[in-house]
Amino acid sequence: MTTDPWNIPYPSDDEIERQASLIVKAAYQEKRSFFEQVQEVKDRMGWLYLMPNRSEWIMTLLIVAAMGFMIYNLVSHSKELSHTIYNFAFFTSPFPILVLALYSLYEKREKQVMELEMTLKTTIFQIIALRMISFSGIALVVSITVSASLAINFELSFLRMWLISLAGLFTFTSLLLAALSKGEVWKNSWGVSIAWVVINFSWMLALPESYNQVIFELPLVIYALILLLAFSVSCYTFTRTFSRKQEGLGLC
Amino acid sequence: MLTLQNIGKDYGKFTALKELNLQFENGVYGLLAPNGAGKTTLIQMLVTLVKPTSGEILYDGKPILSMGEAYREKIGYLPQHFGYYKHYSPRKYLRYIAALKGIEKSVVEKRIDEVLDLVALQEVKDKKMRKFSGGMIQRIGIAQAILAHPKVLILDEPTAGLDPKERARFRHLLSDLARDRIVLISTHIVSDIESIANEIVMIRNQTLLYKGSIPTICKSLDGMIYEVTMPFEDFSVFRKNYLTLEEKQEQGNMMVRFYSEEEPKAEWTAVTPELEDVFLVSYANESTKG
Repeated sequence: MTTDPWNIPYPSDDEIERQASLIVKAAYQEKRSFFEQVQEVKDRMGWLYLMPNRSEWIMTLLIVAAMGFMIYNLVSHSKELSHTIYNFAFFTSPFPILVLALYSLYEKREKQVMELEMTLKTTIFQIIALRMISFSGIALVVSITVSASLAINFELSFLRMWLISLAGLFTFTSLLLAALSKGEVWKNSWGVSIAWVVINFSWMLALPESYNQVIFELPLVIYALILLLAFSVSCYTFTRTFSRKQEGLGLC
Repeated sequence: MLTLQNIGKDYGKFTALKELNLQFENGVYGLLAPNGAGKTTLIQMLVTLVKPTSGEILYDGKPILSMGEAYREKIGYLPQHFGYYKHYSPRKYLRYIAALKGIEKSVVEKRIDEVLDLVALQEVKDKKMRKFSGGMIQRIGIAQAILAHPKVLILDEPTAGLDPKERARFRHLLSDLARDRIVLISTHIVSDIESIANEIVMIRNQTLLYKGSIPTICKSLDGMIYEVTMPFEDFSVFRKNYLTLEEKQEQGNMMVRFYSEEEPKAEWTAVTPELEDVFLVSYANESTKG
């Protein structure tokens, strides 16, 4: 230690520069892009909690098995095989995501974890939106597998089958995300799921010709456009859901 | 500092809280009120679940509803009905909460070990919570609330299900924690907070009744709390005329602690008011259950 009374231990210029930049950085926080925010929440959560848990996997497998059983039954009893299978592909392609979404929300509700989870740093909407993405990924794999196996076994067009099922999947996902972004996640997810089943069934039964026309006879390019539109709307509703504020909503 | 400015909450025509003004600085606060007084509404507003109909809650001068995650990362919350995933072990559950709270991955495991030590659950950290007792689950609830070193710790009926030893341990833990944070404990069990709370907040008829230190609050009943011993047969008449706070049978007589604003009688002995007396007198006409 120096004994010189005139010596003042100033920090070095480098240290002053470093401290000043730290203060400026803390005061003017960089605005993160939407993708950076998604990435940050994804990293925070990790895939372990975004992918389905064990009971959700079991539910998915049960649904896929049930779908397989339904296909088998439809194929054995159908006169117009191709119509039936295409209709089925459109109608049921969102089922894995539908079941996963409802089941995961049911688990949260049944275990009364919402009250606590809605007070944590990551919002319930960020969790739901990211989980929907991971569930969509699973539904996509299921859809490709089912489309490919049906196309091979029944000599149908894989591309048409795939486009139809993806259009169904993304239309449902965008509707579901739009409903979830309104809050009331439990009520709204049931509302959209029931609406999907009821509208499709009613249309199929009441106006089978027009349903077949939309599903079966439209040119592929129209399906590609529908798919593109549904995908864009899904992305938009994803951003809406992800950025939804949860303050003051009560228990979703 | 947490400031409540003219807070009010209506649910349709029902008023849950009105014109509440409060300020919390670092320390332990006991929120005492019977059911229906607005305690849960107040807590749900402090943790951002419920939006006030009027007024504003500020954290260090900023409205909490506009702070978003910057406020939520500062709070630790134990709800009255603590929900958890039964198939998780404490360690797995705390890892999940740590992920949602955004705790740095490099420190998570160390922090989980620390909080499990604090709530004495280290030995069962890898066992499924399905088979845990109510007290053990409550300790997990406390562990998750303190996991991210919250600046505001809000605990709703935290000692429910804890045995006397666990309650004592919990009180020590809170006293330690309160040194550099706000700890708000909502309860109707007076003994849980009277030894640790710096201040008591009491709500009645949807508005603030008292806020202050325990001695100050108790002073408000100075000269109004008495004890008297009487024959057992006189007790039923006595009970009709006075608000009794404690009754004990002693060798065929009744020893009664009671509240009175009358001129004291010769056989009455004035005693020092306790927090329990204040609670019972304040809510004499209301249910104090749960």
